[in-house]
Amino acid sequence: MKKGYYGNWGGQYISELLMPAILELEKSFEEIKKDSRFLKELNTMLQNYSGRPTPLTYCANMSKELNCEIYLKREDLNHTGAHKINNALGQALLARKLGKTRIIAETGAGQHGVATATACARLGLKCEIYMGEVDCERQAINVHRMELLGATVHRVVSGTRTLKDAINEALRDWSSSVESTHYLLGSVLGPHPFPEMVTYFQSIIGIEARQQMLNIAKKLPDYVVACVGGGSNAMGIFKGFLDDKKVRLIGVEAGGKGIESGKHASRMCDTINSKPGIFQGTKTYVLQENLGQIRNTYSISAGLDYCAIGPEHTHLAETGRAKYDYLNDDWAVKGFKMLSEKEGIIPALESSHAIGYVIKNYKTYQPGEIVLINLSGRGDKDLMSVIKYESRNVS
Amino acid sequence: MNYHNVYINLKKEGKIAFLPFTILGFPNFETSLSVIQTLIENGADILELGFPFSDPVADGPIIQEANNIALHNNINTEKCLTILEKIRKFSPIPIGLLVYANLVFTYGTENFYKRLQELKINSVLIPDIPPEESEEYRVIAQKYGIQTVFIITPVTPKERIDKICQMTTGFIYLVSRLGVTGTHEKARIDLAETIKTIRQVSNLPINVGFGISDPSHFKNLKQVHADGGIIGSAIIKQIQNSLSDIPKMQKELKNYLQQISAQK
Repeated sequence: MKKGYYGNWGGQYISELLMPAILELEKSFEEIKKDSRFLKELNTMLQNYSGRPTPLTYCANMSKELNCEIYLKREDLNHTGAHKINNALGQALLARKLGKTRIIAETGAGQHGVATATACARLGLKCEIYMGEVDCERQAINVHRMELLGATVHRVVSGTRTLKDAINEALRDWSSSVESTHYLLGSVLGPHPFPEMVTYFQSIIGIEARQQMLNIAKKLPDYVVACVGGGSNAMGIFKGFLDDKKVRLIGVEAGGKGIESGKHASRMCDTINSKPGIFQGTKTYVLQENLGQIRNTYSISAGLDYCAIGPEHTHLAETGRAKYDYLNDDWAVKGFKMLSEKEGIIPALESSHAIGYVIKNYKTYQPGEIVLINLSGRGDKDLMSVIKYESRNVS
Repeated sequence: MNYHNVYINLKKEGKIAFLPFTILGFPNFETSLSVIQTLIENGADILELGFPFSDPVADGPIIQEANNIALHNNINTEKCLTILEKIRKFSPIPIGLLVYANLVFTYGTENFYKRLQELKINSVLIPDIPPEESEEYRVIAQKYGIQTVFIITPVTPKERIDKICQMTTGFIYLVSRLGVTGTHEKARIDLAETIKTIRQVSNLPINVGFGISDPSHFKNLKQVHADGGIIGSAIIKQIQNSLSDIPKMQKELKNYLQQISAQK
C-alpha cells in the first residue's frame, strides 16, 4: 500500500510550503515510536498529570432500562474533560523534541483547544488556537478556559465560521510560521502522518478498554460504539478491538436536523451529498456540492460539525469492519439527559450521540449482550446549548 | 501560443514575463470576461487564472474574498470552462490555471484535462497536490498535452528542488516567501540564491509569485534573473476597490497594468 494510505484513502494533499515540515514530522513520528525515553515521559504525563488509566464504568440503571449490559470508557475523567489530552500531550512532546517553540491548533467544541493550551502551559510552549466564531459563541466557556491557560484564541470569521474554517486558518498560519511552529492537529484528519499519529496517541483508549473489559466483565464487548466527527475518539477505541473480528464497531455521526433536511454532518449516510473528495490534506468522503464546492454542515454538537471524515474510517466502512450510522439532535439530547439522570454522568453532546444511538436502538441488542460506549468527554460545556435547544423546541 | 515562444520573444527584447492572476468569474461572469480582456490588452504575457473554491487554503484574505464573491454569483467549474471558451474566441494568449485538487478530482481528472486540451490551455497548477501525490495527474496531463507547474519555496531543500524540476514541464512557480497570497509582506531577498540553485538543475522558466505587487518589484525580479512575475492579490484589490463603478475600475486597472508593463 502507498505510504500514508488506508486502502484508497488518505495521502498527503497539502501545499508545497508545508511539505518539508510534514516530511520532518513523519520522520520524527517514526523515531519516537521506538524511543523508550520519549514513550516513558509521555506515559508518566498521562498517568500523573492526566489521570490515566481512565476507569471503565458499568451502568447498572441504564442496563436495566435497556435490557443489555452497558459499559462506559470514561475519557470524560481525563484532565481537561475529554480524550483530546491524549493526543495533545503526545504531539506537544514531539513538537518540543523537534525544537518548535510555538504551537497552533484548531478547535471545534473547544475540547482540543483546551487540551492543547493545557499541554502547552505544562511544557512551556507558546500556544495559539483557531476557533470559528460560531463555535466561540456556543462554547464560550472553553474560550475562557483557553485564555486562562495562557493561549491566544483567534476567532475565525472566514467561510462558515466553524471547525473547517478554523482548520483553514491554522493551515494558513502554519504556511507562514512553519519553521518555528508545530500544527497540533486534533483529529484523525489532514495529511499523513497526522491520521496515523493521532490514532497512535489515542489508541491508549482502546488498549486500556480491552484489558478492562477482560478484567471486569471477563469477556470482550459485543459492540463498541463511539461518536465520529473527524473520528479521533472512535479510532482510539476501535484500535483496541480491530483484530477481534467478533466485536462489532459502530461509529455514530451527527444527523443534525435529519439527513433529508440537508442540515447534518453525516459523511457516511448521505448518499447524495457525500462523495469521495480531497480536502484539507486527505482523500476521503466529503460533504460537497456536485462540482466540488464544500457544503455547509450542521450539528447541535460543535465537535461533530465537520464536512469530512478521517480516511481510516472511510477504509473501515468500505471493508465492512466498522459500521457507520447517524443520530439526529433530538436523540442526542435524549442521550445527554438520560445518562445524567440515570447514572449521574453528564456527557458531552458529542458523546451523547453514541449514548443516544444505543438508547434508540436498544431493541437490536440481546439481553446479556455487552455494549461498550466511548464516553469521549464531559458535558459541562454543553449545558447552555441544551438549555437553548430545549427552549426552542418547547414552543 | 506556447510558453517557450513567449520567453524567447521576451528575451530578445530584454524583458521578463508578466503573469497577472485573477479568479475566473470574479466578480461575476460578464465583468470577469471584460477584466481578462483588459489584462490581455495591457501587457499580460501569460494569464494565470484560478477556479473559485469554497476553501482556498493557500490564499490570503483578498483572494479568499474574490473566491467567495465569484461563488456567490453562482460561478462553478462548468462556468469557468465557459469563460475560458469565450477567451479563446478572441485571444490565443497562453493560459495557466490554478485549481484546487477537489475541483479536478470531483470533475473527473481525465474529463477535466480533456476539456482543457480542447480549450488549448497550457498548464495546470494544483496547489494541494505536492510531488508525492502527483503521479496520476502528471500521466493524465501528459496524455492531453497539458503542462505541469509545481511550486518551489524558500524552504524547499536542494534534493527536493531537483525532484520537483524533473516533474515540471511548464514553469516553476517560485514562491518568494512563506505564507499565503497577499500583499502584506515583501518578497524575501534571498531569491537570487534559490534561482541559482534551480538553474543548476533545470532550464525551466521561473516565475515568481507571492508578495509581488508594484512595478519596482519587477525591477528586482530582473536583477535576480527570474523569467517572470505573477501578480494576484494586488490586481484583485484593484478590481475590488471600484466594484460599484466598472468603467472607473477598468480605467484604474489599465493604468496599473501599464505601469507594470513598462518595468517588465
